[in-house]
Amino acid sequence: MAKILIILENAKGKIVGLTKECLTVVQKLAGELEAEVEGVILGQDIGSLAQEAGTYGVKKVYKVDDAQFSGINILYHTRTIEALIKETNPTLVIGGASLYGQELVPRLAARFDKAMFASVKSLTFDDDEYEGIHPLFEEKLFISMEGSAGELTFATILGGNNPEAEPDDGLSAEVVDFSPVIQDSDKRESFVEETIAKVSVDITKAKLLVSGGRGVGSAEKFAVITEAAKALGGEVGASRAAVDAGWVVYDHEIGQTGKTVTPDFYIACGISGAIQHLVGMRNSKTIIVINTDEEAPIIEMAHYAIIGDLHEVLPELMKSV
Amino acid sequence: MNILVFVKATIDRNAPLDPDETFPGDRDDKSDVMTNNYDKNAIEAALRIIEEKGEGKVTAVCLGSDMADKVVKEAIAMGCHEAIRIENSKAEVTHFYSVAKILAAAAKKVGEFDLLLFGMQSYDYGTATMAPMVSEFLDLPLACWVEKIAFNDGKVIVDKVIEGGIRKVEVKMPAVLSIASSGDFEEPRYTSVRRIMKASKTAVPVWEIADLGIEEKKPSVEFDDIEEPPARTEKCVIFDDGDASELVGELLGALKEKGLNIGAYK
Amino acid sequence: MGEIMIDITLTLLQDWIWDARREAYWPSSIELYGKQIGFLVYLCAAIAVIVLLIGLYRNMRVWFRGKYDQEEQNFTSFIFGLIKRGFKNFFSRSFPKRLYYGIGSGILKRKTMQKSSFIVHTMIMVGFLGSAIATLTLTIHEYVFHYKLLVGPLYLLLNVGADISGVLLLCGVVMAFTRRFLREKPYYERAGVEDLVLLLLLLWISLSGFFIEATRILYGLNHLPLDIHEILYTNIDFEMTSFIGFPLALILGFFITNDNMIFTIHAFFYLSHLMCILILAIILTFSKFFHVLAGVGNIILTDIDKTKGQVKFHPDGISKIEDFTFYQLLEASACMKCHFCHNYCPAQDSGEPLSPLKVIQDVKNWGKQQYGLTQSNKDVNMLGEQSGLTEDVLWACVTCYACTNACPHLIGHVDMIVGMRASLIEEGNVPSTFTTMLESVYQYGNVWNQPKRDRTNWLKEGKLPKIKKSDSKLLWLPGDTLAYDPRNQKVARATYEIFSKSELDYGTFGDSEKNDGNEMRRLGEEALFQMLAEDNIKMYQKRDVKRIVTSSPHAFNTIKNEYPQYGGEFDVVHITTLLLEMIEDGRIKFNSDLNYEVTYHDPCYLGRYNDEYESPRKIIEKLPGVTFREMPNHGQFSYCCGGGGGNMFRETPEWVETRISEKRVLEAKDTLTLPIQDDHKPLKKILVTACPFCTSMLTDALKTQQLEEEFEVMDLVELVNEAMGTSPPSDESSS
Repeated sequence: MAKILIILENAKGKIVGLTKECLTVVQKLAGELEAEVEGVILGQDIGSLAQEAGTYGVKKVYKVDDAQFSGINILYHTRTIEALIKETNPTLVIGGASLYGQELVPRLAARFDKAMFASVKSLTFDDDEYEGIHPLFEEKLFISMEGSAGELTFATILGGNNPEAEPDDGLSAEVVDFSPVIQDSDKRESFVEETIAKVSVDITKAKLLVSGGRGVGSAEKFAVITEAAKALGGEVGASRAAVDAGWVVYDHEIGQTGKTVTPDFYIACGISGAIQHLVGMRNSKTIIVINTDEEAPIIEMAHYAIIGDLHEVLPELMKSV
Repeated sequence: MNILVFVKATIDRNAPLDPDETFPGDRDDKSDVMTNNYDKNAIEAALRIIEEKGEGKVTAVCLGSDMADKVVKEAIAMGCHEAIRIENSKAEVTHFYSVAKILAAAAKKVGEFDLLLFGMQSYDYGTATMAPMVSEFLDLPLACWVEKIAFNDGKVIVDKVIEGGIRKVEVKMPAVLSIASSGDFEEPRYTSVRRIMKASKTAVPVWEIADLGIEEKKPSVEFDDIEEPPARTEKCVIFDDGDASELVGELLGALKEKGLNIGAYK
Repeated sequence: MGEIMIDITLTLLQDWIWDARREAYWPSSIELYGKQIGFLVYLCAAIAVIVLLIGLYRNMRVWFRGKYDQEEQNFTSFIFGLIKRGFKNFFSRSFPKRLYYGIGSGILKRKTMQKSSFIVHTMIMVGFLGSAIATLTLTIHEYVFHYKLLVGPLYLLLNVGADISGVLLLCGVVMAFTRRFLREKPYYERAGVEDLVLLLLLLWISLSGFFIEATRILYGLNHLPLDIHEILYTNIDFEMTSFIGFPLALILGFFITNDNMIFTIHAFFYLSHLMCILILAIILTFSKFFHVLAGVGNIILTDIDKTKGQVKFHPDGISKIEDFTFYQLLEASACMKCHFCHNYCPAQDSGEPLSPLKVIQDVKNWGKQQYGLTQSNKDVNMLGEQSGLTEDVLWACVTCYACTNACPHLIGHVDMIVGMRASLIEEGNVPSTFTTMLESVYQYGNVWNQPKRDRTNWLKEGKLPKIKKSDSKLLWLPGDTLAYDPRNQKVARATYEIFSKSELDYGTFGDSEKNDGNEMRRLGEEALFQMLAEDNIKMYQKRDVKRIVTSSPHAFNTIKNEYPQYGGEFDVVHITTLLLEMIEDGRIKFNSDLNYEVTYHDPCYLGRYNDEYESPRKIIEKLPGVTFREMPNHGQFSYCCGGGGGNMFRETPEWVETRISEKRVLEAKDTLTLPIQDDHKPLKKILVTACPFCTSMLTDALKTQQLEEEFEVMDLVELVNEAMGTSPPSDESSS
């Protein structure tokens, strides 16, 4: 029986969300391929996570629970998973296209001298072939990749394109201890420490941005933008006018003198749309404008516009979503 | 300290996109080509390392057609001491797996190096596979998304970006690093037109792929069609009638109809 | 009877006039004070002269580190060139202008509030020069002519002149002292020990001068009749022409009873007077007082008719003293810290670390640090904390030209700043937002990081006529900002409508238009500017363009003043000039009453750089139903919008609280909200300008200052278009 091996990425005692998204893809593929899903989890004190993986339909979890894996060392991970693949012969190895996955999986693929489905939005199986869709030019184009299902294949799945798998308490996995494989040459890399990032915002990576401009009115009133961003799970953006007025710090500025962003949702509130701002956000996937002026230039590039007072609309939006 | 920086020519951000012409080699207008912007972070890192050490050499390596000449010269203008272009006329080699093999072979041919630097990804294909694959083909240690670099006794100590923080690792040199677009090298230096003019007069050696001694192998995963997302035809939908709750209701309804879930990030 | 009286008076007067003689009344000072003191005085004088010469030499060492002019290859030819230049300038038509600046009247160019400084300065200058000439004449009289020169009317004239000079100097010094240390706070804060020492010295020189005079006269009065040099004086009434010294002598007469006292007091004042002068000579080259030499030198040597709109070309940038020209280093020495540039600098006003004054002083001080009397530190990089010329200082300049415009010594601050920027550009040491902009210009030919093919997207209806070679006519250059910025696209459309309605025969380059390069040059990106200028000139010449109209004053400036350097001589006008022409010759007719109240903001590159203050105002005057109000800062003293010199693309630093543009809209608000006398209620209040950068910056500021309810910011073109009305009068005939 064919086997799919999923790399169960974990951080801070949890299986990461992206891995759960991958599990959705894997479950579907497993059905089509009639394959069994196996997982590998590496780390220290991760027994419960290995168990938890079972609830997502992973039949067998190889657990590498070792002090040497308390901090991530990509060479250790590569070597150990390589050994596991050689031992268990899966046909498909899948990981999330996280910063970890994008470093580990291509290296692993190269070790087996394979190309891979790199950072694909979706991975499907049809007629003995896999097909993956990979975005090009910041999602302005899409390329499909194809590979034979007959040989060992590697893939990383991009986040935000698939729903997270739902746990099913009725399911459980067989947890098998797998001992670490580390060679001397792998000690060329050594883990030093991990620090949690200072709370500095990086709006360029946000999937949703609530952005405020001069139309917000004042520093006090700008709180509504912050609240809305928080409520919707996004970050706060701002136009130069708002930053210059001192309502919000420069880290949030979007535009030519600030950052360029391409979130899934861009909610522009009280921003009329000077060119200097537009160049920073025009590639956002869905642009929603809330403005009192229906002739604001930003509406031309928006997908949806609500003509109204943002101080009334935003609270309503927070309530309704 | 010898550093190789790998630079890529991509289609310019403002050039019209064409699914049949996604590589500079497919085009004939030089203004359609730019240096992959993430590679500039890598060049910046390399130049800073050399400036700090006070000795060493940065060599830019680029696989590309003569359309990529501009990119190679820009690397020199920015401050790279030498550059090599590997001829890839008419975009013969496009797959990242094959490109990684070529770059690994080129690095081997250069021979002496302490660090191989990559940008964290490319603007065009953006697979971010180059650094890990090349490092594996050369059997070198690797660190990706590097924001900060320090040295200690034949080792490079880097801060790499991880989700929600920074991981510090120590890597023995020679090593492969991919440089993040945030952190110390976030703002690549400006390259003045004067420097570009000067650099445009330097001769850059061109290597042939055939001379690199790579055994040809078809990638196990191949590229297929390139498609454009459905073009945006609809105009902005404007909701201007009703009170705030009605307007929001209409908006959410419209979003739902399109299959867009604004509540997905809560 | 009357006649006799007059006769007698005349005779008496005549005697009195012709008998007047300058005498010391007592043996020479050396005999009086003893040889030792005399020797000491000469020694001190010699030391002072040596120090003065050393100081001069030291300054010159720095000047000669600067670059020579292009033709002059070596030192000798340079010196000859320098002398030639001096003579040429001195005898040229610019002489009156130089004289005007030279007598300190450069200050008069300033606004009314600065007139007091002109008066004070003139008093001190005339007083000091007069006193110096008087003293010099006396010396010549004694030592060269042996008391035979100052005889009769000449002596009386000298007496009067000397005392007037003394009074002027004394009053001037007291007034200057009051201004600096008692009255105006800003002066007080920045006036230093240097000012205090200089003023005290001058004060003492003038005061002691009177006392020397008085004691001398007192001795004479006390010893009448006097027999000196075989002349018998029965009275010395002619000394009354010393209208300060004589009364002072009479007053002193009450207190001083014997000759010894007179000698002692005279000695005290005489020696201290002399010492003060020697001290002044010693510190001359080391203080702001040096401007009496370097400033005059600069005024004689400077290129007084230099085109304002042309930045000095520094091909390699300025990063060290050796990169400046000789004349720039001389300029730096000529700075006497009058603070006019500092006061007029909008960047300084908004809280930036830039002060044009400090830039000049930093250059001067750095030069002196590197080149002392003997030591020479060649080629030391000066940009950074070490000199105070940091990146933050250099990028803050909006190149508004207010500093040079205000400078009584014609110092070119902007040229130096641009030169230093060029060196930062060369190093790649550029704020990232500038990098984006410059790379965009290099790659796409526009500052807004937009595709070339979108350049004419602003035109929603109609067709933009393309310029062709065959029918060479008027070329319209809308410029990047009109093409891409949504706010300014409205201005582009308004211009297009005006041209259509008035059936103007014109053409454009459409999508192939390129940036004009003005900002690139001001940012120090000389090569990029050169590239653009050459490309554009080629393009204009290929189409045989006869006349160019630009929407941006920045493009206007560089095409008019800088393209000729690259072989492109074009008849170029700014849109306001063309519109005025068209209004005056009837091609533009106004059909609707606007009922607006407006004020006008002078764009720097139109006004200060190219002296075009009138055309926009004339247009406003002709607009039907428009009431015009002038802001306090207007014309050559106009404030800036903060967007020049690349600063449109600079992120506002955190230390700036109220931006330049915000200060300007606040000023406009004060003007536009002045109470209106009659009950006339304007429909709208508008801050009008004539530059896309100004429109953009001021519109932004209007928003951040929340003044949108109060008034609007509009381009003059938009007003003209509105006043023309919607229906083109000649619509039928054209079809």
